[in-house]
Amino acid sequence: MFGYVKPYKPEMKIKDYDVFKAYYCGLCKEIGRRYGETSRLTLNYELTYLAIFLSGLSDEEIDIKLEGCIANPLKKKPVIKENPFIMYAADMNAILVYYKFIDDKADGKATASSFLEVLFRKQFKKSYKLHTKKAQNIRKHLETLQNLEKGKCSSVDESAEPFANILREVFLYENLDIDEEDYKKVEEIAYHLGRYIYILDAYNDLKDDIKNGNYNPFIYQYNLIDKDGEIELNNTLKEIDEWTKFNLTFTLSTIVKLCEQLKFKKNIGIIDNIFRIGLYMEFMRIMEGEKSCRTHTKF
Amino acid sequence: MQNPYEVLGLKEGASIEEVKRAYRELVKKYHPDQYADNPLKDLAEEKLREINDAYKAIMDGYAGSNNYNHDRSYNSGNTTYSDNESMYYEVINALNRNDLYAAENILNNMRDRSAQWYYLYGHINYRRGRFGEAYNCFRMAVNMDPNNMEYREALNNMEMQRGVYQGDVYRRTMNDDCCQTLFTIWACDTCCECMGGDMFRCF
Repeated sequence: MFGYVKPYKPEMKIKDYDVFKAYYCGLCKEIGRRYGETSRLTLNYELTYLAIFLSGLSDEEIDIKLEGCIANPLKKKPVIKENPFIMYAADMNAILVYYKFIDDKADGKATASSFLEVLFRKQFKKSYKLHTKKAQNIRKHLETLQNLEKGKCSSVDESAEPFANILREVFLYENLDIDEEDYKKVEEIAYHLGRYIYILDAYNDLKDDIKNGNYNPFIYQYNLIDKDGEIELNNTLKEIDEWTKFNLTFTLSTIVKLCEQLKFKKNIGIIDNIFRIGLYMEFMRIMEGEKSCRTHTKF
Repeated sequence: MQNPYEVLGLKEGASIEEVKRAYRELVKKYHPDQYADNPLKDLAEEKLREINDAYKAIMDGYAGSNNYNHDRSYNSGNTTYSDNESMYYEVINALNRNDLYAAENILNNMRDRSAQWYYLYGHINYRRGRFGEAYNCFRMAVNMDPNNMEYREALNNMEMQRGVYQGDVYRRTMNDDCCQTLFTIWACDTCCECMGGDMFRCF
C-alpha cells in the first residue's frame, strides 16, 4: 500500500531535492539505529514525507551532516541527524510494517508474511511501548478495514475510510507548536491523504485482484461480477477511470486548500511539490501507463 | 420569540409556497459553507438557527395546532404539505446542526428517491469526505431534475474546485515543457544552420 507519496522530480529545486534526500537517508539510518539493520529495508516514501511535513510545521533546527552509507560507502551524502520527527517516523514505520504483515497474513496474500511477521515482531513491540494508544487505535482501524473487506463493501469511498483514519492517527504528532484549529487541519490533510493512497492502491491492484480472486472495492461498486461469476472489466473501465480521476483530483484539491491555511516554517518547496504536482502525476502515471513520466519513478 | 414571518422577511399570513421560497433562499444565503473562512461565520450560524426555528414554527402552525409548538408529530394527519417534504425539511435541519447520522437515517428510511433525495445524500457524503459518492449523487440529482439551479450549483462547485487544481498542475508543469520544446527547436535549428541547413526560417 506504499510508495505513492513522492515528489515530482523534474519540477523540484535542487536544494529541495537535497533536503528531501537528507530526510530520506536520515530516516533510513534512524530506522537502522533504533530497530536494527534489517528494518532499513522497510523504509518508504510515505514515512519520509511524514517527517518532512511535521518538521515543516516546527521551528526546530535541522542538523545536516555528510555521511557514507552501506548502499554507497564511498560517496558521502547529506543526512539529517537527531531529528525528533525522523525518530517519530521511524517508530511509526515499525508499527505500520508489522501490521501490514499481519494484514497480509490474514488475507492469505503472501506466504512469506508469517515469517516476516515474526522477524519484525520485536521491533514492533519496542515502538508499541512508546506509542501504545496510537498503536491500539491503528489496530482498531485495521480491524474495521478487514471487516469491510470481509463484508465485500461496495463503496470505494467507504472502504477507504479506515486507512484514512490510520493516516490521521499517524500524522497526529502531539508536541507540535500549533493551535487546536491547525491540528484539525493537519488531521484532515492526513485523512484525505490516506483516502488518496487507499483508492489509488485499490485502482492499481484491480486487475491483479480480479485475476487472483481477491477482494477489491471497485469490483463491487461497479457490479463487475456477472451471473456466471465471471468478471468483465473492459466495458466499465472508462467509467471507472473517469470517476477515480475526479475523486482523486478533488481529494488533492481539498488537501491543497487546507494546506494553504497552515503556516509552514520550512520544507514548503517539497510539500508544495508533492501536494500540488507529485501526487497528481503519480496517479496519472498509473492510469495512463508507466511511460507518461518516466523520470518520476526513480530516485 | 420573534415573529417567525418577520424573521423570514414576510408578512403575516404569507402562503406556504412563499414561506418555503423565502426559507430556501435564506438558507442558501447563510449556509455555513459560504462562510468557511469568514469571521462572520458565527453570526451566520446564529442567523441560520433563527431562520430554522422560524420556518419550523410556521410549518408547525400549518400542520395543525396554531401555537408555535416545537414538538410536531409527523402523523398528525391533517398536514397541508406532503410527508416527503417534511422529511426533507428534517434532513436539512439535521444537516444544519451537522448531525450527519440523523440526516442519513431519515434518508435511508425513505422509499421515494427523488432528485432532492440524491441532492441531500450528496451533501452528507460530501461532509463525510466521501467525495466520489457525493459527486455521483449530485450528478444523479442534476440528471433527474436538470432545471434545478441548486443541484446544478452543487455539482458545478465540485467540478470547478477540481478544475482549478488541475489547471494549476498543468500551469506548473506544461509551461516549462512548452519552453523546452521551443528551446529544442531553436537549438536544432542553430545546429543545422551551422552546417549550412535551416530547419526554421524565422529563427
